[in-house]
Amino acid sequence: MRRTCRIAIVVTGLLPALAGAQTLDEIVARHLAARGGAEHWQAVRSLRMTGRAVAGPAREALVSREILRPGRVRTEFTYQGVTDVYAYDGERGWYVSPSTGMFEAQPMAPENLRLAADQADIEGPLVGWRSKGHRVDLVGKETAGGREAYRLRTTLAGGTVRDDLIDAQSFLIIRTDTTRRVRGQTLRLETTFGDYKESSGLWFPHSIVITARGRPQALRIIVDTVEVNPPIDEKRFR
Amino acid sequence: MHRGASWMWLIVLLPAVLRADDIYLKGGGKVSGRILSQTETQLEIDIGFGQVGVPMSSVARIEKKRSPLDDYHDRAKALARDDPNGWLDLARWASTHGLGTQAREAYRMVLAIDPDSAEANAAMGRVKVDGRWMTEEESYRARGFVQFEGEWMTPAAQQAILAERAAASEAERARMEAEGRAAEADARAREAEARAQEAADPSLVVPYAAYPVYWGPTWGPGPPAWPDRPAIRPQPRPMPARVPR
Repeated sequence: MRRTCRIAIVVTGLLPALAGAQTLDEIVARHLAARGGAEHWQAVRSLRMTGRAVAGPAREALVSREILRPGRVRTEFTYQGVTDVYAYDGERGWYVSPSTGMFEAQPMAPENLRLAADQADIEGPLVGWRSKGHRVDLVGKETAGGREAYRLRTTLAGGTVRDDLIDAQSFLIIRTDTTRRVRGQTLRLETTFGDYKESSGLWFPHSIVITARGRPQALRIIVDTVEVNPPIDEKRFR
Repeated sequence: MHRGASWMWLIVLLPAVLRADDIYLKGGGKVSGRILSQTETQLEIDIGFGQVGVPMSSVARIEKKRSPLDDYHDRAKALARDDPNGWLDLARWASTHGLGTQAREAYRMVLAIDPDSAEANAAMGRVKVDGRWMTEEESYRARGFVQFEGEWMTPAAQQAILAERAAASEAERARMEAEGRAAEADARAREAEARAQEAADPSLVVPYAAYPVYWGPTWGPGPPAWPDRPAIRPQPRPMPARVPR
C-alpha cells in the first residue's frame, strides 16, 4: 500500500514535467500575460472590430463585431451592399438577414444562440475561469502547425467544449478546436489564429481561418481595425 | 483581344447611369441598391446582382447616397476594354469592397483579354492542372472531394454523416417502439412540427446549397451560406378583380 502511494506521488509529480515543466495554472497565467494581462482585460468595457470575411474566390464580405459588458455581442456581415445583423443582449438573441429574405428581427436558432453567448465573454473564457464555473484541463503537449503547443480543454459552464492550442513559445493561442452541430451534422471546426497585433496594450489575432474537417471550404477573417473601449449604445443589442 | 470582351463590356457599363439608395431596416440591417419601384407596401431594389423585395413595413428610412456600386460603375466606364491591368485593379477593388459579383465581372473581362491570367483564374476559383485551368468544382473533384446534398466534402465525411444519420434513425426507431403506438403518433407530430420550423428558419438551412460558411468560436454567428445570389422572396400577387358574367 505504502509502495503504491509512493509510485502515485512520483507519477503525479512527473506530470508537469511530461507536459513541459508547466502546470495548468502556469500556462494559463503566461497565456493571459502574453495577451496583455488578466487585469487589463477585465478593465475592458467594450470592443469593436472590423474586417473582411473571405470564403474563396470573389467571395469577400465586410464584417464587424461589437462586444459590450455584460455579455452582449453584435456581428454584422455586408456583402453586395446588403447588411445582415446578428445580436445577443445577454439573454435573447436575434437576427435580421435581408440576404436570406428576413427583413424583420427573428429569434436566433439555439445553436447560434450558444455561439453568440460564448463569444459575449469579452475577455475570453480563460480569464477567471474558475469563478466563471468553467473547467480547464491540460491535455498535453503536441506539435501544431510546426510549433510546440499545449492543448488546454475548456468545458464552459454552458456545456460547450473547446480545445485551445497554446504556443509553447509565445503563449498565444494558435488554434482552437471545437465540435458543433450544424444542420444536423456533427462538425469538427479548426480555427487557426495568427498575425497578432497590439491595441491599447492588448493582443488580438488579425488573421482567423476557420475550416471544417473533411470540407474543402475555409472562411478567413482578416481583422483590419480594433477599438478598445469605444462608446457603444446598448440599444444596438436589443 | 478575344471576341467575348466586346459584349461583356456593354454589360459592365449598362448600369453606369444608376445611383444607389441605402434602405435602413427597422430591426437593423441595411440594403444598398437602386429602387426600381415603390408602392405603399413594397420596395423592389436592384442590388447589383439581382433584385430583392423589401416590405415597406420593415423600412426605417431611405437615404440617397453614393455606394461602392456607383464607384465601381464609374471606374468601369473609365476603363479601356483592352486594359487587363486596369480591370485587374478594379476586380481587386470590388472584391475588397464586398462586391463579389462585380469582382467576378471584372475578372471575366481580364480573362477575355488574357485567358491565362494566373490571378484572374485563381480569383475565379480555377486551378491549373496539367497546363489546363479547371473550374472550382472540377478542382474539388480532382482533389477527391465528393458532392453530397449540395456540399463538397471528403468521402469519409460523407460516410460519417450517413453513419450518424443511420445511428440516429436506429435509436429513434428503438425509442419509438418502446414508447408504443400512441406515443409514436405524438412523436411524429412533434417531429413534423420541428421539421416545419427548421424549414422556415433560414439560419438552420443552407438557402441555396451553394457555399456553406462555418463560423468558429471567435467570430460569428453569421449567414449559414455565402449569399452568392439574393434571396428573392415570392410576394403574394393581388387577386384579380372578379369579372361579372
